[in-house]
Formats: sequence, C-alpha cells, structure tokens
Amino acid sequence: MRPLLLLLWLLLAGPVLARDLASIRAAGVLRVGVNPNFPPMSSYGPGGRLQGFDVAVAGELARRLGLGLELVPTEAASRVPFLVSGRIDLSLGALTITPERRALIDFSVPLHSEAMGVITTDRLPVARWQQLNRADITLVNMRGNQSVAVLAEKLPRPQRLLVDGNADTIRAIAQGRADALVENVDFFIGFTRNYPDVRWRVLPDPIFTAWCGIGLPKGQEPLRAAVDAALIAMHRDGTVNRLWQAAYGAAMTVKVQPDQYRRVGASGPAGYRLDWRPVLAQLPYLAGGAAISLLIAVVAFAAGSVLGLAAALARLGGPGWAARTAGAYVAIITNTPALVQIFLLYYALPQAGIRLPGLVAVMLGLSLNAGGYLADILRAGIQSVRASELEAAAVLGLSRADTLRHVMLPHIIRTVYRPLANFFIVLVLGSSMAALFGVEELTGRAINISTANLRTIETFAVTGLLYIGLTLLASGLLALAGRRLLRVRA
Amino acid sequence: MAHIDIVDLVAGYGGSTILNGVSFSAGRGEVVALIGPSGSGKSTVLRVAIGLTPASGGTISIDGTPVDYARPAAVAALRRRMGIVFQQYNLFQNMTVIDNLVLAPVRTLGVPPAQAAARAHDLLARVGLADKAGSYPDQLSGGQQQRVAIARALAMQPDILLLDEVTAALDPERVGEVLETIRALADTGITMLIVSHEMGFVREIASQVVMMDAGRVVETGPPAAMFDAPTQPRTAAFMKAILRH
Amino acid sequence: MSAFFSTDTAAFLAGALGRTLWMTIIGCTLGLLLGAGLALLRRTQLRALAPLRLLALLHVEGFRRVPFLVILMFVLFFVQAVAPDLSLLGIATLAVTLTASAYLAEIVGAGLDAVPRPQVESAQVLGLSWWDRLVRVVLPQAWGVILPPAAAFMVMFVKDTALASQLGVVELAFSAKILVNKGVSPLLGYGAVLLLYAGISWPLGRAARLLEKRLGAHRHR
Repeated sequence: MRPLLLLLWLLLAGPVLARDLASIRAAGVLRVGVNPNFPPMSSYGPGGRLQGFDVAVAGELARRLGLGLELVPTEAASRVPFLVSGRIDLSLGALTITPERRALIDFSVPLHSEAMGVITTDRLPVARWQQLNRADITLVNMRGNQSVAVLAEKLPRPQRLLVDGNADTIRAIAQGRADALVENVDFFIGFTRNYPDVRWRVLPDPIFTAWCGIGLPKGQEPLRAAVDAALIAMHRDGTVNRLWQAAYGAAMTVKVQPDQYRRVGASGPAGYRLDWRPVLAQLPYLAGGAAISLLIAVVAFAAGSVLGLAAALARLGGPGWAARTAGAYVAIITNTPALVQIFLLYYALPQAGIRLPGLVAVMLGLSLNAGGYLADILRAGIQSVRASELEAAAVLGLSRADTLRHVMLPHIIRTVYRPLANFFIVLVLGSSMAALFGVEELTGRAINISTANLRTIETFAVTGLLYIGLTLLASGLLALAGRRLLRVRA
Repeated sequence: MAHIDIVDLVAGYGGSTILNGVSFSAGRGEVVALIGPSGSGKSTVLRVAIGLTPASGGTISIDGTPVDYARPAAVAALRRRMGIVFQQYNLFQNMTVIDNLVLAPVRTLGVPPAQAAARAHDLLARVGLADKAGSYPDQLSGGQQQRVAIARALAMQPDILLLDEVTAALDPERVGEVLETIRALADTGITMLIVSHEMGFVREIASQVVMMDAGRVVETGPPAAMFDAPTQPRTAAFMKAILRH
Repeated sequence: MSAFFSTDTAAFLAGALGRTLWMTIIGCTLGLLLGAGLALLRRTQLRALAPLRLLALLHVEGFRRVPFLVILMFVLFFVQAVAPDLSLLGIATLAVTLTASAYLAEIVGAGLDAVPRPQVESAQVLGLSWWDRLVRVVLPQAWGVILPPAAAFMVMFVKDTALASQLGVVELAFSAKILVNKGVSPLLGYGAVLLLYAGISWPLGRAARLLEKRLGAHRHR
C-alpha cells in the first residue's frame, strides 16, 4: 500500500530534489558516487577502504571545496538515477559525456579521456580493430557502458556477451567465452594480471576517444561552477595527471587539453518525470525475453523432475549408498542459494576445463536446484500411498502394473500436482537469475533497456507486470490441465 | 408484553430461502421449544436472533423494542442479555475451563476479574464441574464440555438463553446430565428458546412448542396438545415418525 | 590462495554473514507483521475497507509473481527517488520485507482460517470486541499453525537474500564475488560461501522442523 501511495505522490509532486551547494555546505559533507569494483579507478583495498584514481580525485575535490567526503558505492546502472534523486551529489566512475545522459544530468568539464581500444589474446589473429567485424567473433561488453552503443555502430557483426562487472569482461576472455573486449584499455588492462597464463594483446590503434566528466544533478549551477573551478585548477597544476600516473602506473593515453576547460552551458529542465513511452516501445523485445524465461523454466522443470524422481526413489527404496548420496544431494541443494550454485558452475568449472555458456550454466544450475526440491515433493507424494490400500490391492490379486496405475498413481498425482504447479512458478521467477550470467531473458532485457533509456522505475514496473502476467498464464494453464487431464484441483 | 417477539422473519443465502415468514413469541420466564425435521430452519431462527445470520425481513423485539441488527452497538447490547449454547459446545480450545467463563464478563461487561472468577466457580459448581476449573476443554467428555458451555453462557447473566440442539452431539449416556442442568435452569426464571429432538424432554420442560417445516411455522401450542392431538397433518406425521423410535 | 586464509578474509566474511542475517531476520520479521496486517485486512467484512482489501489482494498476489531480483531493482530505483538517504542494506531489507509480507500473508491467513469458525462465533455472541477475539481466541489457536511454515519460510529466505548482491550489498554472495575478483580461485571463494550458507540454513531448517513437531503435538493448546 505504502509504495502505491509513494508512487502516487511521485506522480503528482515530482521527486525529491538534489541538494544544492548551500545545503551541501551546511551539511559539510560532499557525497560522491564511485564504482567499488573498478580498479584502478576505485576498489576496496586493505582494511576494506576504497582506493584508486576516482577516490583520490574525490578527496582532492572535497578538500579544495572545503568539504568532508562521503564515498557512496554505485553500480554502472545506478549512478545516473542516484544523481537524479540526489542520493549522491557527484558521480565519478568514468562517466562518459553523452547527449542521452545530458538529458538527465549535467557534466563538469572533462576529467579524463577514454581511448577505446581492443584487448584480446594471441588466440585471435587480427592486427587492426576493423578486422573484428566478423560474425564468428564474440565481443564481451559491460552492461551500462557507453561502449555497447558505440560497438553496435562501428562493429555490428560480432556476437556480443553482456556481463555485469569490469572483472567479468576479462575473465570471460580468459575462460574463452569471448574473444575480445572493445573498451577503454586503460581501465581494463589491469584485470589481465589475474590471468598470467593467458597471452594478452592490445591492438595498437584506438577506435575513438571519448571524454569522461564528473556527473552532477541538473539545475545545480552554483555546485557545477564550484566543481568546474576546482577541476580546472587541478588540471592546470597537474594534479589530475599526477593522480592518474599514481593509480595506473602510466600516463593517460590521451590527455585533456586546455581548450577543453571551456564550460558547457546547462541543458534542459531539472528533475525526473515518469515517462512510460520508452519502455512501452520496447514491449515486443521484452515479450521475446519472456519467452526465453519460460524456456529456461520448462527445461529446468523437465530435467529437475527426472533428477528429483531418481533421488526420491533412491531415498525411499534404493541401496544404502544411493539413499545417502541422494540425501546429501537434496540437503546441499535445498540449503544453499541457487545463485551461488550457478556461480560455481559458471566460474569454477572452467578451472577444471569445462566452460559453460551462460544460458547452459543457468539451465544446468536451475535443473540441479529443481531436482533437489522436486525430490522432496515427489517423495511426499509416493509416501502418501497408504499401506492399507496396497494390502487391499494385493488381496484382490491386482498385478504390480495395475496396482501402480490404479492405486498408487492417483494418490501420488493428487498429492504432488499442486506443489509441482507452484514450483513451476518458482522456477519461472528463478529464471530471472539468468540475467546475471549474460542471458538476455526478460530480466536481462529489462536491465539492458533501463541502462540505455535510464527509465529504471518505469522499466522495472512494466517488467514486474509482465512477470505477473506470465505466471498467471502459467498457473491458469496448469490448473486447467490438472482438471481436464488428471482430474485434480490445482 | 412478550419478552421476545418474532414477527414474519425471512432469511436466506443467495437464492435459497431458509426462513419464510416465521412468527412466534415467548413470555418472560417461558420455555419455548422449536421442533421439526432437519433443515426446517429451527437453528437459523436462533442464529438470526443472536445476530450471527442476517435476516432479510421481519422483526425481533425484546420487551417490545425491535432490535436493529444493522447497528453494531445494538447487537452488542443484545448480546449482553442474550446467550446461546451450540450443538458443538465451541469452548475456546486454548483456555482452561475457568478462563472460558471469566473472559467475556471481564472484557465485555467490565466485571472485576476476582468477582468474575468467584462467580465462575459458583456456576461450575451449579453444573457439577467444580473440580474441572483448571482443565482444558479437550480433557473433558462431551457432556462435561456442554455443561461448561452452558455455564459460560450463564456467566454473562443473560435473561434469554438460546439452546441449539445441545444434546445432539453427545454420547447417549451423556445426554441425561446435560438435560438435568437445563431442567434446573428452567426453574430460575430465565427465558429459553430450545431447539431439540429430545421429545420426552421437550414435553416435560416446554410451556409452548413451535412446529416448523420448510422455513415456516406449521403449528404452535402447549406440549400436551401438540404431542397428543396435533391439528395439522404435517405435525402428526412428524410426531408419528419421531416417536416410533 | 594464501590471500584467502587470513584474518582479513575472516572478518570480511563475518561482516557479510552479518548483513545476510540482518536482511533475513529484520526483513522477515517486519514482513511477518506486515503480512499479518494484510491477512487480517483481507478477512475484514466492513464495506468501507473494500478498496484496502483490493490493494491487499494486489499486494499479496503481485509480489508472489515477480522475481525477487526484479523487486530488488524496482525498490532500489523507486526508493532512492523518494528517500535517497536509505542505505543499500536498508533498501534490500525493504525489498525482503515487501516480498516476505506477500508470502507470509498467505501463511498467516491459512493459520487464521484453520481456527474453526464456531470458535469465532462463540466469541462474537459473548460480545467480545474484534481485537479481543483476535488476541484472546483466534491468534492463540492459529499460532501453532502459522509458526512452523513461517519459520521454514524465513530459513528459506536466507538463501534468497543472495540476490541482494546485485544491489551492491556486501552480503555473502557478493563477498565471494569480491574475493574472486581479487584473485581467490572461484572454487574456493564460492565453495566457502556455499558452505557458510549451508551452515546457517541446515541447522535452522532442522530447528524449524522440530518446532513443527512440537507444536503439532500440542496444536490445540
């Protein structure tokens, strides 16, 4: 109820506004968003403290503005919404200056360059980035980064694999899931140190150079003027390049030039207004994702049923070792998160030389997971058959097949049908985890859309409604099938 | 003036009619028995009277004043002077016998707990269960539970008591003890509406018998006339069927 | 490898474990209260409350049909638009509360419905108020039916909180990811966290089943 009231309030009154310079000064603390998983820009160092280029820049800025500093960890997809809402006053984290972002936030003068190049290995025999435009090549990309759109334009043919973290891009190449990363070489090359056995290469010519600024909420001109003045001073006295050198161990590939210190005028009105059109225009794309979600759930349910039945039978009537193995399997599966189970399949199996694509890892993980839960459901169903009825069947001289068909199965089906139908819905919802492994099902596509159009509230509201529709449809069909085909109420 | 006066009562669920114009009345201290086949609407009359089932027409007046069942305050006031005992006893399973008796007087009448407890012990003694105060309902026999249920209703000091087939769920050897309790009660001057299939008991205790069938009153009269010389064929057939056993 | 076995790692994992438990315990407890409110609201008769009953129905049906991951995202972006000072842990806890309340409303509702109708009618004819009927008669009898599945649900939710890692809450699953990004082997990092989850969930699950047996034996008290 409360969310609904809040939603109503948001629609009518508009959002909370960002803090202006006066209230920041009154509070005495500048809140700066940094990406905590982005070394050497910012990452958790010894003792759990954030460190890196962005952290140093934020500290220097706060010092020059005479303010204390509060670092707020932000993910790539959340930093713009955080700025809009005023959760943070400034956003760092290699925020490329783009027209789409300018519609929602303002930027300082450029802080650093972003020279886009290619990181690959000796497995890929190409010399120039233009040679990457082939359908048999997979490029890895990080969701929410500007490079996604650039790639679609400059290198449209390769397949793409979307991952959620900076480290995941390099890992994907190291594990052979992708062939190359087209990104800012400065940012990503550091992760290659985690994989010393791989022979890494950087293609020589940058594809193009973009500029990253400090993101600010719209309509905060005094704040922007103060940040720009401090930043220009930091460029002039060499602080920015010094901090870069300290963090990266190398100079910035393309330096910010004095003619870029000119300030750009503020653009457009401030604030976040709900706008549903960008999301509704993507409904067919989302519906396609829903079909993939359903596919994942169906596969996991089918495979999980086979596993679950085997485990249930092993526990009820199998030899001791089989019963114990099945018991351990069920205990492990039902006591640990499906997400971590899939993490293990996806990230740890490559250590043993087995490399699963995201979709396969998710389907396998959910199948194994479903098997554990279905084993319990099916076991309860088999146990629901009363001994007295089996005795009656034996006394009447029914064959084993007839006993199974006419005495046991009706009981079992009546007991398990409803839990099975409910569990299928659980799997439909669980399939959303596939998004975290680069699968573009419903949730994955929602994340894609929201990072592109920045309409996060609208996108996830519509996605939620699609899930409600999908599960209602599934529940309805299952109940109908139960009544018509099996004569049970579900 | 009648103590309780029921006029033209109509009630039903959805499309089906359960009561179709029921009228009768009971004077102060009178015991009126409702008899008739299952499904004739006897229990519904009691449920409407205590405000558990809504009526769609007709009035029920207490001391000449019609009860407005749409007003929660009026229903609350009614329930402070009218009690009911159900076929299935319906004691609160989570409380001891004494707590079952003390709860309502304390919470709804504002009786001081000590006073309510003293009165509860008196009532338990009256129904012959002084030693069961600390027991839980499921430790008692059906007959004992039903006597506690009667005591619980009396704890509110009602001047009208409704008894809805209070012996129907009991083992045959337990019926007597409950009837004995009610018999004792009839002598205290409380007005009672009794739904019962115990014809011998009805004949002995009731001052008036109301014969119902299919949601209507078939015939009303003193027990002797009703049992020995019914004027309506439906009553005669019912008596014949029930007395054959 | 050696980077893993250190007091730093232990302290880091302990903090993450604490946040996992915090989200589960605080979120589910608030969810139980909200869920109980929703279940009671849905069982009221007053005509004036009809719009609220509809909202309660939409809440309960809706939140059980949307993936927790999507709820987390929605709550994140929604809450930070209206209450930007709430921490990520607070946002994740709120998402747990909202989700848990929908499931727990059904569990509480089933418990309320398990109390025989005549018990309520008896309380009504004795003139007990709505609150007295609830607190003195219905809840004491429903409690034994509600508690075991509610406890089992909370234990189950320990695992679901792993998805809060996607908000950036450094709970157990995210702590594994951070360790692996620092160079710990994925098998060791994720395996250790898997064992930690099992170490919480398994004994708590046993306790919940024991509770069910205990209460089952004294259901009517």
